[in-house]
Amino acid sequence: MEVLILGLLRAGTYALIAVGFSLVFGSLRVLNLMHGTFVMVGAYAAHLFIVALAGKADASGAVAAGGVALAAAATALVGWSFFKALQLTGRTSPRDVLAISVAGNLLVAQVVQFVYGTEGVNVNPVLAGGTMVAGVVVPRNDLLTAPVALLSLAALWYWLQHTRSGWALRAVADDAEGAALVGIAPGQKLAGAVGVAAFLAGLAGAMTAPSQALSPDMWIHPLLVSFAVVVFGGSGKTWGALASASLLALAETATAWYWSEAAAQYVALLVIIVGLLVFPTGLLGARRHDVR
Amino acid sequence: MNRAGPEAKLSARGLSFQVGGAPILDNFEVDLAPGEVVGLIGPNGAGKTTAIDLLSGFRDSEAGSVQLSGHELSGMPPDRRVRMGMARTFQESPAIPGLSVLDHVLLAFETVGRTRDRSRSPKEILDRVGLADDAAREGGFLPIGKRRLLDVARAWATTPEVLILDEPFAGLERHEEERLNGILADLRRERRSVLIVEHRLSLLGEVADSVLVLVQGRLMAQGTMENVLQDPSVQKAYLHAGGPEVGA
Amino acid sequence: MSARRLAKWRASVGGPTVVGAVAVLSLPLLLGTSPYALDIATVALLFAMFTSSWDFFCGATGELSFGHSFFIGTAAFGTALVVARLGFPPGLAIPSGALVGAASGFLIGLLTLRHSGAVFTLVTMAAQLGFHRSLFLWSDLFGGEEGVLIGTPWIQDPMARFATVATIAVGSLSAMAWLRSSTLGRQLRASGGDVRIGLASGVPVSRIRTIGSTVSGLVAGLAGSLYAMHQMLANQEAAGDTLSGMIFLLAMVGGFGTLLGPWLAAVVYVAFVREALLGLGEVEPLVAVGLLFLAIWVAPGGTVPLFRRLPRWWRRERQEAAA
Repeated sequence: MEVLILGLLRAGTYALIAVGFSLVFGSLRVLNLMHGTFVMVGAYAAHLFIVALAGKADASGAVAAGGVALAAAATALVGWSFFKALQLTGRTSPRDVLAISVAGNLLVAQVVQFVYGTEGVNVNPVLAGGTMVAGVVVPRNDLLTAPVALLSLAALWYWLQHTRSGWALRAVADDAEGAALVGIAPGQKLAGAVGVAAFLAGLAGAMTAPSQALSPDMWIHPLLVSFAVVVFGGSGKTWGALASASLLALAETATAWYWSEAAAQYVALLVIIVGLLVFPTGLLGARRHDVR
Repeated sequence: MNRAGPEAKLSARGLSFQVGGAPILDNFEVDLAPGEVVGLIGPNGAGKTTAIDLLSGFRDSEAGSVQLSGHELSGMPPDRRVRMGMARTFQESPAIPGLSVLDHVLLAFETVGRTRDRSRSPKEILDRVGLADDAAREGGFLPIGKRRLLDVARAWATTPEVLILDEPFAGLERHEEERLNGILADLRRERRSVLIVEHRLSLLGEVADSVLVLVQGRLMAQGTMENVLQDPSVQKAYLHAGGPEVGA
Repeated sequence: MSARRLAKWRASVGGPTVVGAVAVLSLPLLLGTSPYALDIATVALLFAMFTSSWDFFCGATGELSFGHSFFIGTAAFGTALVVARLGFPPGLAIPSGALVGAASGFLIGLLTLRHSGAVFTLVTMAAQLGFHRSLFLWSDLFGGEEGVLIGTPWIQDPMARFATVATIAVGSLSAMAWLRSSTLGRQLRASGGDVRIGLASGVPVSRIRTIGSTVSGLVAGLAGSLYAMHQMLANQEAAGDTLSGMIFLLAMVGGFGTLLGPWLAAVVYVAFVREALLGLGEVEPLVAVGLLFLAIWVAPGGTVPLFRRLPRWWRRERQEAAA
């Protein structure tokens, strides 16, 4: 039972993280390797803004909420600017985007390491304290993530279905078959889509920062989780991403509960490696013709 | 459509391909005798490249068979088919990044050509194709005409029994066209078989013994270029799709 | 050997070997022969093996691996474990480590056979992370944070150690350059990204990719073993993302696909740039990565464009060699 509760909470976080990644992939056929870094930026930015807003380390719930919102917005800005810069400087071939994204991850990690060093970083929660839910003690802050996630996803859905920019994004999806090899086109709405994805990822990072250990290499796991969701759930349908994210979260929580948190990290890795072995083509990446 | 005798180099039957229920190619078949040059024509979107993909193993046919000098190729991956003696070119004439013109031909020669009978040396092939002076240039930087010839040279260097060309004349200048004609004559003399997909019908008409007409995935007609073009159903099919480039 | 063959050999293998030898000889001249300087020089050459082995596969196929430390780490720990737990002598331990690296290369080759681009990168990232996590999960075996210590030094004299590593570093560079200019090298280039032409030329792409990855793993593993012996320690850094990241950055900046470029970039960075930046203190890694990041943005293909302006005699020789 505990596993279920905790798993659902984690599912909210993973849904926020994975849906953005899945959206960018599903519509633009780009696997954004900076996505994990967005989560990390959101987490550290939350600390930054909360401290700035409160003037010192301790802060009230309202300040924390403000910090979270600002952190998500800042992350969106970072994501949008990065890809806009790529387009403006003509670095749009697949390998360029890939190489610069990987380098970007390393740079941001170094920045974080320089600013925060190796000490622990304490982020204040929006809701302090814990409550009992079905016999499990759960930090109140974690209970917020699920509703926030649902709200954000609802807003995202609305945007995709009912606004012109959302339609434009969905329209590109049909044109994207095999575009993985082509990379991003100069006029594409990539920066905007990444901005949205970054917002959601940053939000997730900011919301879970109070109950996590922040470190400069925390960008890797969210990236692999996002990728695992896409591998497992198929190419980028939003509902598929939600379902896979939830399943993955439950599997991880169960593994952490019965084994250890460290072992839980393997779940995403296994999904990736086994999933790709079982579905080598047609699911992801460039179509390979020598498959038998 | 069954014209080949027991020494047919290439014999394909019943090749079909669908995408999501829509048939791209339906029951395609072809026979090539040694030294024969056959054309495959049809309006855009008729499924010609798909037919090539099925023959060469880049796509799997749902049914049917492909036999090369009596050996069944179905189920074999494309590289194995090349080693068995079937080579093809590509519509876009792509090049491998980082490899020179010579390297492209060397690759094919060392991987396949050298192990087969009557192989030509890479130098001979480059000379014959007219790219000897460009040997050291990077393949990807060549203009389209030369890239086409490079693609042909590469396929030729595998010493194929059957060579399938996908729009080799597109974008060629006059002297390049003549080179290609010369190559086709060489292939014929060596008793190799060629299947050519082409839109430039007059050029094709000069080299092909006969042509197959593919319309909306189905074989519609077969015969010499003259006869086929005079066929009213062929004319209607082409008109529908915007007219052939007979004078091109 | 005919004159043409000789010219071809000179261009593709002789060149890198000579440059490598010159670089190796200049290191003690420029840095001095104190034990500290020789230590830096030795590590620089090991990094050169890391980056050049990365480029052997990735530069040819066009894929970007983020898991090279998987090869290095498994080999380093393999070597350290057989020395520390089984008492292997170095002469046996180092080849064992190299074989472990080769096996890792083989494994990654199999896992990434059908993948290109971002998927390839992510799979290598997953493999590297998987192994890195294992180090802590099974800390009894792998020593956790401390790693596995090697009690006895491999070669006592720093100069002798440097000379040995230098020979291996230049030798591996030559060997990889030779392979690159051979049929295998061409087949490997045809086996990355859009593999249609390769397949259409009869290249067994899957097999070639596996072979290429195994060679890459072998050289990286050899370097990883030497690294462990040199440091007398195998710890999680040898299998971490920081190392993978640095290898990636240095190889890209050095010249993606050129083999020699990544080799030299590593030497220059470890022996000179990093030392120079040490004066900056804590901000050093940030500045270093920042510079590399900028370099990659400005010239994603690395410094290859600079290499393109070869002296005319060099180019004429290649023309003759090609005829």
